[in-house]
Amino acid sequence: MSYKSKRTIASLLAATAVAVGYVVYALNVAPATGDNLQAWAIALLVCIGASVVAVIIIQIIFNIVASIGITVKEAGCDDAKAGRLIESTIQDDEMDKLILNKSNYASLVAAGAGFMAALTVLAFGLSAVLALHIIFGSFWIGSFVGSIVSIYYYEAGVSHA
Amino acid sequence: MPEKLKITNNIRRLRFFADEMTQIELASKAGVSRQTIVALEAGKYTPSLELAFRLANVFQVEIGEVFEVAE
Repeated sequence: MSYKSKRTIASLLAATAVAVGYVVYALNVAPATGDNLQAWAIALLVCIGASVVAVIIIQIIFNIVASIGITVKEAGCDDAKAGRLIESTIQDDEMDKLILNKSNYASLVAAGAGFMAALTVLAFGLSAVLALHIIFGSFWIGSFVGSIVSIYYYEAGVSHA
Repeated sequence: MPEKLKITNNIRRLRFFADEMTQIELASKAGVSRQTIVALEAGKYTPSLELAFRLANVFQVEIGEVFEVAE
């Protein structure tokens, strides 16, 4: 499996861990918070912030570990060559941008479907808190789908055509 | 919709004849990551026209010598 696939999996695991944490939190506070939309919005904002921070930290740790791994693997080569290898592995280029475009499209479709589902919930007069969570969940599913699409294209290949 | 063309490349062979140029050297000269060169050689990536020309420039050959349409 390539470095980029592993990096995507690392980000996915970080986002999943925060989402699971939120679900555990939500299940515990739901009876007390009820339909207080403001409290849920604050909880979701905190969760999104935590998710961003977690993904950044995981990316930094992953890059450090990957660099060490490359250096150890190429133990026989000099520092300059190891540096070039690390740079060449981590660098993003047109293939990454192409895959990002495809994964972003998949994410957008999932998030859009979730938004429509949330509107439907509101149209039927159901809870706004439920609609809020459907939107949040759909964005997370969109992110998950996008990551899976990225890994698929990194492993199976991609074409500009 | 027209039938999709299967485009192959001779990058591995051209690297061999370029004094066994490494994938890292080629990636550096073409301005892409090593993984993209790996994907190209494995037939898992069809590059943009710009990258195709850059690769041809690195080997100092015509683009048709780097990329071919498979029969």
